[in-house]
Amino acid sequence: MKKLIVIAFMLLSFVSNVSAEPAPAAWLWEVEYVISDLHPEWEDVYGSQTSTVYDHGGNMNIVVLVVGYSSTMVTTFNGSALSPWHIQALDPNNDGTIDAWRYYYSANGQSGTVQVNDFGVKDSLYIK
Amino acid sequence: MKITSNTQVQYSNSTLKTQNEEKVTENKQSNRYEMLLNMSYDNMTEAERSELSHYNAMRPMSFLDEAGNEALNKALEGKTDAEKFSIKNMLQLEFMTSIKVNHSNHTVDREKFDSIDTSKSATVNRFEKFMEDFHKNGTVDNIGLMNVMDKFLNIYKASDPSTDIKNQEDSVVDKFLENLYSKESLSVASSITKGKIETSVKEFHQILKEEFGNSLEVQSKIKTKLNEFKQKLLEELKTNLTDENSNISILEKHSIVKVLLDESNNTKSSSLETLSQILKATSSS
Repeated sequence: MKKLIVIAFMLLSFVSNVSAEPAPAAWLWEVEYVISDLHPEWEDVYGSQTSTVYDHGGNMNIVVLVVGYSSTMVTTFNGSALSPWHIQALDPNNDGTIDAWRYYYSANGQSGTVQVNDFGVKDSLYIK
Repeated sequence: MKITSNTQVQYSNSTLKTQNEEKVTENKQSNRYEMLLNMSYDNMTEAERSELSHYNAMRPMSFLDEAGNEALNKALEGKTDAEKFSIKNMLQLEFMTSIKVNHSNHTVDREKFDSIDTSKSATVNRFEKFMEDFHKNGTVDNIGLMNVMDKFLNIYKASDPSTDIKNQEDSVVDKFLENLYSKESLSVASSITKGKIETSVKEFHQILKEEFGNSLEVQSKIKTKLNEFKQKLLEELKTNLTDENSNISILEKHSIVKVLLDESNNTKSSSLETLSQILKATSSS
């Protein structure tokens, strides 16, 4: 009986180690930060902000935060689709489940609108 | 070559001249950078835009020490200014922020750090962990970031350890200051003394650095010297406190008493002597 309990315990711990929980479906899409040649400090635009406070221009980096998993998210700048040059998976509690992703995009120019779409507009920001 | 005091003076003068020239160039560049940042992007010429882009690509990052910044710039050689800018920005954001997610109640806690540990060991660990996580989680790198990080680690690990010693020296002084006046004594009154002590210790630290250079034993030597200095400083404070002709204010006397009381708590053997002096001083003020 004792042996059986030990085996059952080992099996259970093995199963819990190999099957990390899958990331839940995306529930938050946010343009999180903007930085550019003209304002070379990350501007935090997370939340209900609809426009940047600072003027931007030149080489520009835009960060979109997606919490939960999405394979259908599309980001546009002035109507043109952007493709990420880097995607950072975030697993802050190191449990093997990726909780969020940061998408890094580049754009060039001055003002324009960034839009995050995932079966509808999820977030939009005007970059001054 | 026989080194005479004249040779040393000449050497110091020429070193000073070079340092001054470097400073002038640095100031000019910094003024130019500031000027470009304040311009309207529409009114900039192509040359000015490229210049601004180059300044941004080469700017030092706060998450790295001097050697780290040099190593990163070397690791980025061959990349365009726009790529250098992007990679530096990304590393800055990932190292200087953290995020916590709670899926059950749909909350996100974000945190931004004003500063992080820039010692060599901490930096190496940070970069290695970042690369390990990146490979484990299989995310996207279309800019050759992993290659740059790999190059950076090779260059940085092989760099002169003196900068790490400098950080250690600074932490020795910080620790010294922290011990000198306990947190409880950081009132408005004691800050007068605190400021004076801080200035004295910083000046002394500079002298120590010039004397010891950046040898590996510098940390323990500095610790010993700072402790000796601390004793002298406390002796001076005691003298000021008991000197009837001293024209320091009552406020300052009180803050000195606080520092001495804290110190006497740390040094049991001399506590009785210190205490009797303190009592004498406060009764006369």
